[in-house]
Amino acid sequence: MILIFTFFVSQAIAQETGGDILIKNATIITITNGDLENSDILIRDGKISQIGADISAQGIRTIDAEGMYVMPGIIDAHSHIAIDAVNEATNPVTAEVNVGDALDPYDINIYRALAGGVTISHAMHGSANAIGGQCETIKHRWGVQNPSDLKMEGAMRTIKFALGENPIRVHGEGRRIMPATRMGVEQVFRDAFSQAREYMKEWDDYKAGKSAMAPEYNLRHETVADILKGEIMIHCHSYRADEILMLMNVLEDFGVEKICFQHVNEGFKVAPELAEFGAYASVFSDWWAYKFEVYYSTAYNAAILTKNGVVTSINSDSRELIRHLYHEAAKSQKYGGLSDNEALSLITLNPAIQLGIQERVGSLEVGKDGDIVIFDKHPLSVYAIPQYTVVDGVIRFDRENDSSDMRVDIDPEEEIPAFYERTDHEHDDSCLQGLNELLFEK
Amino acid sequence: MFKRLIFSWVFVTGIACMLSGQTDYDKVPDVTATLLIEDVYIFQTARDSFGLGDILIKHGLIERIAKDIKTPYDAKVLNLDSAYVYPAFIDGMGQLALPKPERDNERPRVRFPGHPPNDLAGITPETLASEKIEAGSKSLEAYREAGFAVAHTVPYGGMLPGQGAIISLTGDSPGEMIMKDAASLFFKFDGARGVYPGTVIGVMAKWRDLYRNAQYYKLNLDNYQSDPLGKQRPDSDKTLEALIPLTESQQLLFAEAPRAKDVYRALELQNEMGYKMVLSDVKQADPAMQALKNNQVQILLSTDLPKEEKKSDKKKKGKSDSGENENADGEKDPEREALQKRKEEAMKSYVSQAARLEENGVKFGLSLYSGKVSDLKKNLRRMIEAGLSEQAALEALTINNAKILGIDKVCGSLHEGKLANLIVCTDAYFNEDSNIKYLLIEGNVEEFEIKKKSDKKSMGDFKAILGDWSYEVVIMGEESTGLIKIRDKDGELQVTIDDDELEELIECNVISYEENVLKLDFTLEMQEAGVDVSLVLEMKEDSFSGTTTIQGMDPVNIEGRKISSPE
Repeated sequence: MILIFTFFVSQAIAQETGGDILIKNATIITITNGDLENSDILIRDGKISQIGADISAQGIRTIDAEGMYVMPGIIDAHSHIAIDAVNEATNPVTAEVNVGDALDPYDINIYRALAGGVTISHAMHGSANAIGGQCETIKHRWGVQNPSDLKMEGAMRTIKFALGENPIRVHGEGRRIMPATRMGVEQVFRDAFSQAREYMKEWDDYKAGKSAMAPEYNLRHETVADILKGEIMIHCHSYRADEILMLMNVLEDFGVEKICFQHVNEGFKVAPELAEFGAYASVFSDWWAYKFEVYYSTAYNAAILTKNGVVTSINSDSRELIRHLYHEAAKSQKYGGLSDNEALSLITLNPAIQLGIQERVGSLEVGKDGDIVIFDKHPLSVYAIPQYTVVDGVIRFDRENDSSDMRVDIDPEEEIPAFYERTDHEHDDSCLQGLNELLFEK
Repeated sequence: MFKRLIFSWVFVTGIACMLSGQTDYDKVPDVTATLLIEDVYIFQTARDSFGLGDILIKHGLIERIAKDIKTPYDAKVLNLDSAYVYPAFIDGMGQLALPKPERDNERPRVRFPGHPPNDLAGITPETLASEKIEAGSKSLEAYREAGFAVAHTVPYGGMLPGQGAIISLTGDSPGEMIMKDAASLFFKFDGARGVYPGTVIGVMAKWRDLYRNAQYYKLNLDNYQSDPLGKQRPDSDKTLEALIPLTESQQLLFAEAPRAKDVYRALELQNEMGYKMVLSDVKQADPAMQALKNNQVQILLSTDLPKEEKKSDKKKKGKSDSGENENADGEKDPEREALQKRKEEAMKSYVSQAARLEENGVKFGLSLYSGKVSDLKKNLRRMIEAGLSEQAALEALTINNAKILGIDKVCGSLHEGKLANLIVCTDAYFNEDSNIKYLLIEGNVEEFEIKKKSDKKSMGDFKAILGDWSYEVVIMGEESTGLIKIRDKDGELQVTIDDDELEELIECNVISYEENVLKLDFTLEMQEAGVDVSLVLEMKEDSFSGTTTIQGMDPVNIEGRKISSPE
C-alpha cells in the first residue's frame, strides 16, 4: 500500500513539468527514421532530448532495455474511456457539448489502456446525433486527480459527426423527428452549416455597428461556425461508401476540409476519392457485421486505404480492444501485407495526424513528447507484452509494479461481492452508450 | 418524540393559539420581551469563551453580555446554573420547509426533445423558494431540536432549480420566517429526463449558453431603455432576467458538487464565467484538496458521511460467525482482505477530510442538504475523532455559514446587537451526556425534554412480552400485516419487525419499556430518503394496541395478538 502511495506522489510531482528517464540498449522503433538497434533514448522534462548510442545521464531513472523494443506510445483515435457522458442524445445537433467537460480521471480503463501501451486516446462523443459533441484528446496520466489534467494541452479541437443507422434510429425511429432517413442526415448537416453561416453574419453585422441590438448568443451555432472556420476537425462515424461520398460533397459545398472518417468499413470502395479529398480514415482491423450497414466489410480495409494514400489508423472504440491495438495493427500484415513500419504507423503517427498532434507525438524524434512504450518482443509479435508505458517521461505503467488493485477512487460503502458479475457487454456498440432506455424499452 | 414545553409566559398565549388554530391577528402579545439568562458559560464564538456570565435579551436581540447583570424590572429570568451557551446553528444549505415534489414517473411527452420548455429542462432560475415555504412544516421541529435557528433553503428541481431563501426557523407565517429572499441561485449538474440537456455535458454547455445570453439580454435591455428609437424591442425573458444578478456579482451561485469531479467541474465553469460561487454539498473533498486550497473558494461540506458497516452486517455476509474475509472453507481470502482494507482506507479519507481542510487552512461551512439532521451530532463526532477540532466543527455550523450566507452581521456569534439565536446545553456541546435544553430564536424560547439514555436497568421487566406478535395496521387505506418479534438478547430487549410486504427485517430501536408500554422507533430506507417511524404499544397478556406515527403523518392505530412465546 505504501508503495502505491509513493508511486502516485512521485507521479504527482512529475506531472508539473514532466519526468526524466533514460532507456538504454534497446531497439528503437522511431517510425519516422527507421529502427535503431542497440540505442538509447533520453527524456528530460517530459520531452525526448536525445536518441543515439552511449547516452549517459546522472541521477535519473535508467532502464536497461537490452533485447527490448521501444516505440512511440500507442494512440487510439477512437475511444470512449474516461468520460462520464458519451451521448447527449436529445437533439440531432449538439455541437455545443464537449465530452472534455466530463472527463473521469478515476476510470480504471485508463490504466488498462496503459497496460496495452496506449498513451493517448481520443475520448469521443457517441454517434447518436448527426452532429454530436466535441471530443477530447487525452493523455493517459493515470493517477492525476483533476479531470482537466488528462487533457492534451494544445491538441486540435475535434467534433463527432455520425451517418447512417444510429442517428436515424435515435431521432427518426425513436422520436419521429428528422433525420428519419439517410437523406435526412444530409439535410441536418446542410441546415446546421447554413444556420451557422447566418449566425456569423448576424454577429459580424452587430460588431460592425450595422445593427443596434446584440443577436441571440448560441453556443451551438458558434461551434459549427468554428468548423466552417477550419478550427475544428470532424471525426465522422460512417460505414457506407455512398454516405461517405455524400458527406464529402456537403463539406465541399461549405468549404470544410478537415475530416477523418471513423469506422469507414466501406472505405476500401472509395479509397481514391478519400485520398483526393485529403480525408483520413480510422478503421477496425477486422470487426464488422454487428448491424446491417456493417456487413459489407473486409479485413483488407486498412491495407487498401493505406496503399491508396489515405492516412489510416486502427482504433479500438472499446475499452477491451484498446488493450491490444498492437495485435490489431499486426493483423494488417496478415491481411494486406503492410510493412512493419506501415503497420505500426496505423497506431502511432497516423492517428497523431488525424488528431492534429503529429508535431508532438506519434514518432520518436528529439523534441517530441516523452510518450513511449517498451515491449519485451517486437510489438508486432503475437508474444509481445508491454513492460513499461511512459507518458511525458513519467512511468504510468510498470509491469513489475502492477498491483492487482490499481483503482484510485474507492467507494467506502461498496459491497465486496464473492464474485464479479458483468452486466454490460464489451462488444456492444459503445457509440450508443446511454441510449439503451430509449432504443430498447419501446 | 419530544414533547416540547414552552415557558409559562408563552404557554398562556402560544399554546392556546396553537390548540385553537387561531391565526396571528388575534394573538395575545407576550407579557415581556426582556429575558435574562443568568450564570452560564458563554461561547460568543466557538473559539471565544466569555466565561461565566449573563446575557440580557431585549426584543429578540442581544442587549448585553456581562458578568452579574442587574435584573431589569420587566425581565423574565432564566437561571440555568452552569449551563453552556453557544450561538445557535445555521444550516448552510438544505431544502427545509419546502414541500417535496411528487415523483412523476411519466416521461414528459415533448414534440422536440431537443427544444423542451424550460421547466421540463429543469431551468427555472426564476423560482423562489420563499414562495413555497410552509411555516408549519414538521421538519422544522427536528432542526430546532438539533439546535438550528436559521437555514438556507433552496428549491427542488433540475439544473437550475431557482433561488434560495434564508429563513428563521420560527414564525407562524412565511413572512415572519424569511430573513433574506432571493439569497442565492442554486445550480446542479443534473440533466433532465429524456429532454435537452440530458447529461452532464449537456448541462454544462447549456449553462454557458444561458449565462452568455443573460449578459447580452441585460446589454440589450439597457441599450433599448436608454434610447428605444429605431431599435427592435427585446423580448421579455424571465429566465434570463433571473440570471442577471449573478452575472453582475450581486448573487451567489450555490453549485451542488458532491464528488471531487463535480468540484473540479464547478471550479472550471466558475473560472470561465467569473461569478461568485459556493461549492455546496461537497462529500468528497480529498482528491480536490489542492484545488480547494488554491482557489480560496467558499465551501459547504455535507454533514453526510458514508455509513459505517454495522457489526451485524459483517456477520451476515460471512458464511459463519468466524469472519467475513474467509472463504467457504474457513480459509483466509487475501483478495477479499485487500479489498476490505482499501475500502476502510477510503472510509478514513472521507471521515477525516474535514480535518484535512482545517489543517490546510481551508474554511468551510456545513450543510444538511444531503445529510440527516438526526445523524448530525454522530457525524460531527466521527469527524472530530478523525482529527477535526471541536471549534472548527462548531464554527462550520455557525459563523462560517453566516459569512457564506452574508448574514454574519446579525447572526453566527453572540455579540451585542445581534439576534438572540442561541442554544443552551446541559454541558459542553460535544461532551458525552450533553443535551440541548433550550433553543432561542430571536429571543423566543423553546425547551426540550432531555432524552433519557435507554439503559437496560431502567427498562422494566420484559419477560412477559417475549415472543412473536402479529399485527395489523391500516396506513393510507392499505392494510399492512406482519410479525413483531420480541427477544431477550443478553439481557437487552431486541425487537425486529417482519412485515409481510417488505423483504428485509426491520431492526427497531427500543426507546423504553415501562409500565407495559413499549416505545420503539426505526428508520425505513425508501429509495434515497429515510422515513422515521415510531410506535407506542400498550402490551397486554396476549394482545396489544397502540399507535404508530410515520414521519409527517398523523398517528394511526395498530393492534395485534401474541402468536407464540419463547420455549
